[in-house]
Amino acid sequence: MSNKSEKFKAGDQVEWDKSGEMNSVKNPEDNTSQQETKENKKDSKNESQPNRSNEKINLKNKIDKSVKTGNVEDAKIEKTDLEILDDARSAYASKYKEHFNKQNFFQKKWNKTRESLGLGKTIEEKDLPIELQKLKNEYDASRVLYGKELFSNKENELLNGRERTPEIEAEIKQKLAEYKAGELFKTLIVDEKDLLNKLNIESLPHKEKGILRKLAEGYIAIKPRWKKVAIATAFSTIIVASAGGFAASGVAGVGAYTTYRMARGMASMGVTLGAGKLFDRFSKDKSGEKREASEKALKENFSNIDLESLKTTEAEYSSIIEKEKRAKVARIAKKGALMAVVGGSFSMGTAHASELFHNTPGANAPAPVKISANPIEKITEKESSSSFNPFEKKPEPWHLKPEAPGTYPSPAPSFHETEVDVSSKGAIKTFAELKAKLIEEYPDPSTAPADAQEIMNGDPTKLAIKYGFYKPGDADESALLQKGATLGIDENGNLKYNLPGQENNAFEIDEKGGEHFQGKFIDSDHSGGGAGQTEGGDIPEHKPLTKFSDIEPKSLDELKAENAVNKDIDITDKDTGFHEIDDDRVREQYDREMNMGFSPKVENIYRQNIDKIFGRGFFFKTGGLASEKWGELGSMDAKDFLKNIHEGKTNVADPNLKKLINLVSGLEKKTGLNTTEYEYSGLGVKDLPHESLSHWIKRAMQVLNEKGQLASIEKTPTDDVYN
Amino acid sequence: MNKELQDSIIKNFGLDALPEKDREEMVISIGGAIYEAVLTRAMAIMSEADQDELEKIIDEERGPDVLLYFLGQKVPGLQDMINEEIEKMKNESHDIMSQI
Repeated sequence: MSNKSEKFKAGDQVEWDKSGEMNSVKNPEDNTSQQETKENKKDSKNESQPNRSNEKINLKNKIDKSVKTGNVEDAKIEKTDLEILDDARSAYASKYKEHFNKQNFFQKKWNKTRESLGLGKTIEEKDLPIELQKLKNEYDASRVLYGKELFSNKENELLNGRERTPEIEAEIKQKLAEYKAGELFKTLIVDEKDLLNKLNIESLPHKEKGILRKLAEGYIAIKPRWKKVAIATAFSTIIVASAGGFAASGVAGVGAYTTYRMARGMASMGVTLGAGKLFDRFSKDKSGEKREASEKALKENFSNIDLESLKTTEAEYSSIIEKEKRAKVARIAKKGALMAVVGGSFSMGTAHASELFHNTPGANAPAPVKISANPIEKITEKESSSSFNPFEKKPEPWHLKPEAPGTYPSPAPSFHETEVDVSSKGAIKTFAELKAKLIEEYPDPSTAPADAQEIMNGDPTKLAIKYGFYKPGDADESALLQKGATLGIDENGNLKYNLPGQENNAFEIDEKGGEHFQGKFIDSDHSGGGAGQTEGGDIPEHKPLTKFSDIEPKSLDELKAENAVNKDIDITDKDTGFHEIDDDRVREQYDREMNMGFSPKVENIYRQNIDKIFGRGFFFKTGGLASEKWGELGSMDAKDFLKNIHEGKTNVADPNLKKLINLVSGLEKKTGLNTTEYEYSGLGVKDLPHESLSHWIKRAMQVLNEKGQLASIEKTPTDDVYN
Repeated sequence: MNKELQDSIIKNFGLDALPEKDREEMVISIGGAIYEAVLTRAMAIMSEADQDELEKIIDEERGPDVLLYFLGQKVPGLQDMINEEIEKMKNESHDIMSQI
């Protein structure tokens, strides 16, 4: 038994010192013994608790008898029950620590094995050594003794010398039931657990003790109150950890909202089981009537929480709803990975939940924290608010703070600025450049602010018209853009147009709230077709947009006449004249390398086209869905493929191949893109001479995207391209 | 507090007789005790490097969700550990309170 363990008893005031040591605090004005001081404190706080006595008894014999007979009354009380409890707790805690430390030693070893096997089950705390179990029984028996005494004292206090009439009996019965479920439960179960925790912490090394001190302080200081309730709930009910539990409860409204938060929190703890179901159930878009109902329920259910917190909650809830909408697409996309890496996938989702924990205004200054070891004394909100709270500070936006290895994601509550200098070729080109930059910066478009999404998905010409840079039909149709001006998205997610040297948005707001360019217009092309010009810059060159449907592939008959000999549908080298790279491993690495860096939009359009031509197939090695046929064709040498098209050496009897040829021909005509010979430097594979067809198609689409012309493919059904 | 969760906790810990106004306070107390017990166990089996990282998270005030995420990643079977502590406390409360 350690000295520390013996030092702390129920009723002690415990204080953490700066070194992380836990100390019992003695009243400095009192020269009596520490025990007497505590007794005085206790008496002043709760008269139901018995006084200590200094009589010496053979505690062990008394408790042994009680445990042996199963009758706690057999332990005749010669020492106060509180003293018995203190001693029993100390004895149990001391032995438990030995067991605990030993178990942890093996647990650490076991963890390594378990992790290597991919298992998550921890060693259960059961089958305690006999000696420890005996001490535990003694400790429990002493709790019962002490509890009985407290209960009896409370009964006497409530009776207060009155005669036991049926009415008084009923009143006392109810009050005793409340006392038992409340104060007595807290004293015997919760606070005893807390004291044991403290004793266990004492047995840990200094460093671990310090960390736990901070964690304990953090819990005490969590504000506002409902946040603490949310976390406490997660640690109070097993149902939270069970997908089945929630699913069965059929919660709605604030129930769903609360469980949504809890589910996120619990999911972040690594609850892999059922995570997908939880995700589906609790994070679905809340809009329209459902949202209204949720908000109403939110008010009602949180009505027992102070109004200030409620206001915050409502605002946060609305914010969550908005963010949920934006994140919807991303969630769907990432859901597949959820089951495998629940924490990682939830990191995005928990951004919302985490906001719930971070929006409390007011930083708290560090201050010494007193942790009450007195079961009766409550930690007040006032004390909590003056405590250092490691949970309160808002984290840096994750996108402004690149994650270093070993760090963990923080919420993303705001947007980052994106801007481009206005182009000397005018507003349409400027919008196109901004679009390309935004697409690059937001690989997941759903996470971009609304204005950015509009730019990313919009046609630069239409955008230029919408924002008043281009007025087709007017004599002076093009905005005269000042050199050095910028167009972009600000940190609030709004489109901004800044003049050189000025930070204020230079857009004019019309009566409908719309934004428009204000400034000079010129006739930039002398034909009414211009779209903006930089002051002092070149007159923009205007070329009519090439429509994909303008591409005229060779007719089937022409191709047949020129080339087709083999009428088989199967795609073979003989059909196409192409060859594959033999080494699958090299091919795979190459594909992986080559497929990096395309925007999601390009990937989507690419996939849509390929699906349209070949139909959906298996999950093939480059990571996309594609048919087996495309799995073969896509990895072929693009250079050879194009060459064979040029020379008409392809088998167009194959309807899939015919469509593919038309797509590739169209892309080549529109972009003029040549194939490239890449050098792959990774993993010792070098000088891979070929660019695959799949990569070339994506690259061509990327070029179109950069020109702001990808929409012409996106909006044009693939069939139109070929017919 | 959400009724389903509240009912669950009341059922688990036999708090039926507790006035409604005091239930939330009790949940905070129960949650706090289990939270501390779990973290004490978790800390003891954590590697030195992970402990350093955990301390960094606390010092950088990254928030409870990040903290829990970290623990979920670094402490295998954390959820089991939480459940065990809840079970333990639940059983204890039943055993002891039923004798009074």
